[in-house]
Amino acid sequence: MNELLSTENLKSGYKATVVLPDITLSVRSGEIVVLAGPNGSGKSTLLATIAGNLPPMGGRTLLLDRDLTPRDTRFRAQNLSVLLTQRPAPELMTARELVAIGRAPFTCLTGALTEEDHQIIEDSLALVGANALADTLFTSLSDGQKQLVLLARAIAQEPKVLLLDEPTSYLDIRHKLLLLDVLARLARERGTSILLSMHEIELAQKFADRLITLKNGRIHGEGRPEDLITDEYIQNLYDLSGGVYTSVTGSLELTYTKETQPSTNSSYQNSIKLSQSSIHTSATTKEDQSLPPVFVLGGGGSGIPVYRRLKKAGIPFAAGIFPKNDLDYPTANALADICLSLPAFSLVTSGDIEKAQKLLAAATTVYVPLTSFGPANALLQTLLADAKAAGKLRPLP
Amino acid sequence: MLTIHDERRRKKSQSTGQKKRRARLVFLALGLLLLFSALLGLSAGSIRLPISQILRALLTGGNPQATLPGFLENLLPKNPEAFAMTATILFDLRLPRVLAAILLGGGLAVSGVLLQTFFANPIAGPFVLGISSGAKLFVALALVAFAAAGSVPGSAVLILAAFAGSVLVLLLVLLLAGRVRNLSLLVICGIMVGYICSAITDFVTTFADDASLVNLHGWSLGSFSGIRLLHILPMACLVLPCVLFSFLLAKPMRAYLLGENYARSVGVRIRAFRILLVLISSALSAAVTAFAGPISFVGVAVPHVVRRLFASSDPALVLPGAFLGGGIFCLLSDLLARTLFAPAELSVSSITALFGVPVVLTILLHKNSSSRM
Repeated sequence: MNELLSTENLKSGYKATVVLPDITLSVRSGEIVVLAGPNGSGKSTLLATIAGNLPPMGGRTLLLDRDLTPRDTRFRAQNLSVLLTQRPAPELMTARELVAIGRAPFTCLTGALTEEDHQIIEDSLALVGANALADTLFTSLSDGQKQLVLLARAIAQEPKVLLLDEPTSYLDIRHKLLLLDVLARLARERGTSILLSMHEIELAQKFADRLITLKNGRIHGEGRPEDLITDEYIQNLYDLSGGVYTSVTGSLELTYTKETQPSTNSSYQNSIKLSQSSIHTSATTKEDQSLPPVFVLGGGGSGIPVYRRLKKAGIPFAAGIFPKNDLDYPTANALADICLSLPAFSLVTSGDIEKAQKLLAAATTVYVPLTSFGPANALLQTLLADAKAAGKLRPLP
Repeated sequence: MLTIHDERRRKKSQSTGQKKRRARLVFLALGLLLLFSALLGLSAGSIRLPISQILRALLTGGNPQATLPGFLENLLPKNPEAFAMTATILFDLRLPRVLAAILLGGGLAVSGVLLQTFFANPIAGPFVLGISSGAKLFVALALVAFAAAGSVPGSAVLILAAFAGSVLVLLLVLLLAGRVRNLSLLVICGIMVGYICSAITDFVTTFADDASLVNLHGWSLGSFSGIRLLHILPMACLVLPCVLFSFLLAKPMRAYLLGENYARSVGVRIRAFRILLVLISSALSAAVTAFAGPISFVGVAVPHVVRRLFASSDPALVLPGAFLGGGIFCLLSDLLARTLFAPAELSVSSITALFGVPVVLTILLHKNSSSRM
């Protein structure tokens, strides 16, 4: 009975096309389960089928241990509510009137609201922090406010299970956090089971109790985010080619394949053109052309914006020197042509400095975003001095 | 913290209270206006009937010998000569007309509200969608068929024929544009279907003999003039239950304003609900068409204005409001139709179109500009 919602071999799709051949999953009381996966993997289809908006082609959906049939509309409505991707645009309806519709499964034939219903409506508005909007027309609200009011409507239904289809899409950061905070409170304080789909894998990773990933209509993986998500897993799930996902920082680095590389006529390109042309002309005079023309001396997170700018401009570069637990490492490792790194928690040695000096000699431009030197990286100051002496040190791009 | 909470509660109760007060006020105004228009409709015309004698006739049931109780006898003194004429004109002509205008006008407006809910489109209505034309076609077929057999069809046959025509056209429009959310496309489909129906009606009437043709022609313009007191009972028996039943649909209609999927998620049985909407709105527009012919734009204009008056789309307010508003609109339009160029009489439909079309255009232009934004 701990599992409020489950599906068994659920099969669904549109007309003749089977989108989901066989889905078996369950959500426990108070658990937040995030459905992730590429576009078209069947997340919305799955949610629509469980919500009863799409008739299943086979299998079962169990809600509170009851096998749902299409005729169970009232039982379903009293125990499960939804937040859908489509935005309704009801004419002349205030936010409060919209939230009140959430009480429909519990009211009598005429839909008259009791004192208790009114209280629940006010509480739901308060929970999402939308009291002040209650008397505003729904159509005049911003996207973020609309989403919160729609969530209040779903909450007013006092569901045991809450389904949300990409609730955070199109929201700004503030509203994203507000919405996720409300969901977390619902799960914790009311024991609501929450099943939602989400595109922001980095948010999902932080927010979900459990992740279920879908690919091509099948369950691809399932587990706690920390167990399931690795860089390789995400590359594989989303078939990434133009970027590298870094699960430690939860950020996506754009590596740009040849086709997606920004072309020379982009406005950004113009601003960096000067430095680039100077790099290239002098690079040809060097013997070792395979080494990158730019060296970035970074560390402690200071180099991250530099790597990204260079990558965006399509300039090859080397980066170093830092241990693998350094903040710079994931980004540098994803973007730099050569990344000089040390094992985690180790000190920079003179051997490392020699390697770096080779790169430094080959480079025509050296950027040093690094500003703090301590016992672990004291030797790097020699590199800084070398770059200065060779006249290759440039202000940060 | 407590004070903020109290402040919020106070504000909430105030605004909900304001809404309720406004709704009460609008209902009161619509009720009074309906009463006023009805009295005006009974009194005004080529022969002006004195209000006192109208009231006397209504209260005594037209009996010249009867006396009214107490102060009413003094308030509405007996005037045998005026009373006789008033009673005749009242019961033969004006009262049936006024009652028909209220019932059919109200029915049309309610039918419009139902269709607008069904299509999620504010300019859906029985006339705009060609439903009235479909009803007209089937009534014409019935008239011609009965004329060929040498008889005249009764109201029941006409209503059934009109109902069949309404449902058929509605299904046809659904087939053409049911899933389309585009406002104007739906209207275009409706107009096209209306043209087809009119064409077939013309085709049918060419083969009809003169007597039934004259009958059909007068009727097809849309008018309350042919209605007699004996028509009122069947009319009321059809329109009132439909209207009352539609009030019971207010709850699912409210949820349906959020779209089909949200409505289903709060327990609305979509299929049954949609079928009920089609049946009731068809029955209402069929009743109107069978008794008065096609009357244009009441179903679109009245609900729109009523929503603005309430500043709300709540069907629990809009449905009864639309019934009252439809009655008022048709009463006043009928009054204009028969007094404006008296003794010549215009069709009610031309008057309702005159006032209804601007409202429809306003909606279309407003929606267009807001969707472009």
